[in-house]
Amino acid sequence: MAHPSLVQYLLKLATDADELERYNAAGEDERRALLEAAGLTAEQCDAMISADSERITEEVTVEVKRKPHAHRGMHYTIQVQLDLHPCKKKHHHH
Amino acid sequence: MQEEAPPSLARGSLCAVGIGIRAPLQTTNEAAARIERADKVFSLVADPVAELWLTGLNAGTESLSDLYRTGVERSRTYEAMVRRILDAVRSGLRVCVVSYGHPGIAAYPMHESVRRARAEGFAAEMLAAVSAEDCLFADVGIDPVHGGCRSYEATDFLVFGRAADPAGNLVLWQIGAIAELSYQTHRGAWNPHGLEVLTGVLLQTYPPDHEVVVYEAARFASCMPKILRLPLRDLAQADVTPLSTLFVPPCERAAVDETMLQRLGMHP
Repeated sequence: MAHPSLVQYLLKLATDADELERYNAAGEDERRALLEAAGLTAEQCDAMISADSERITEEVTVEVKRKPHAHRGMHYTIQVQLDLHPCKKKHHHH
Repeated sequence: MQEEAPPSLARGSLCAVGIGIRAPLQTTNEAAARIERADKVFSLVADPVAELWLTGLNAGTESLSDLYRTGVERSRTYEAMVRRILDAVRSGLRVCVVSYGHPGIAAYPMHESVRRARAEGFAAEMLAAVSAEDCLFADVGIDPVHGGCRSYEATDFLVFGRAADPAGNLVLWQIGAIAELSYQTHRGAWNPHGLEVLTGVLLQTYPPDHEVVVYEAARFASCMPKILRLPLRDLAQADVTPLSTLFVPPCERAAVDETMLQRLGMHP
């Protein structure tokens, strides 16, 4: 498909300062027009206009899963390791 | 006869970088340059937008997220990540490992990889980056120097009985994953009971109507951060996810130590 995907449009916003300024300055109708012109689906447009990271992430996940090259385990996650052996760990803290 | 090169001259190297929460907008030029010039890039960002950007910057980018398995202890997953990173360093490559946020915060594989690489004689360093806490300070409008700020991982706060200072700021990371040592995929708090326990513990220090903030940084350009203000008593029922951070402002003023004022010559 020739149209840019949601992921690609998000990347464009993050790397093209002119596009980001245009998008941020636009009202809701203008934003929707920009997004539709970029080839986003109605659901993706709604998520983008909500400006809600979680909603957009859900749409991104759906889009990525549709693509055959998407690798497994694509998700947001946390990176912490809780150390339940504080006596050993304390030596590293000090 | 040619001598064997000492470990310090080993050609492989490691650089751990973070790309901020809203990559690449929050990625430093220094981090981007390291990613671009690396022979091998491992990513731990789990964000398709950031992954696409990383791949464009360095085609040799390989995600480590395939090592996550639902229900497997995260410590085992992290060990597998460290091994994969170190294997590449040992093979003589300039390796860059990329994490979401700050590479040194809540990021055991990053610290451990750097530590082991150095111990084996390889050049290894970590670059600073924008963390979720940095975003919180900016978005919620907190100056951690005013009144001080204690920052704990939520399970650590509970398990080790860390004291909350009612006169200072408190940040608790990962309130949606309390006591959960494995990886889960579902949305919402991974352990609602843990959130109830945390609420009860905080109520021993703060009044029930004390306003707290459940926070999540914006992850994409043009998005808004999630800033949910609520009374502490309602925390256990709040919309919390594994990405949520809790901010608890002080509920009282700190008392001035008059003796210390005198010792420091601060009396008018």
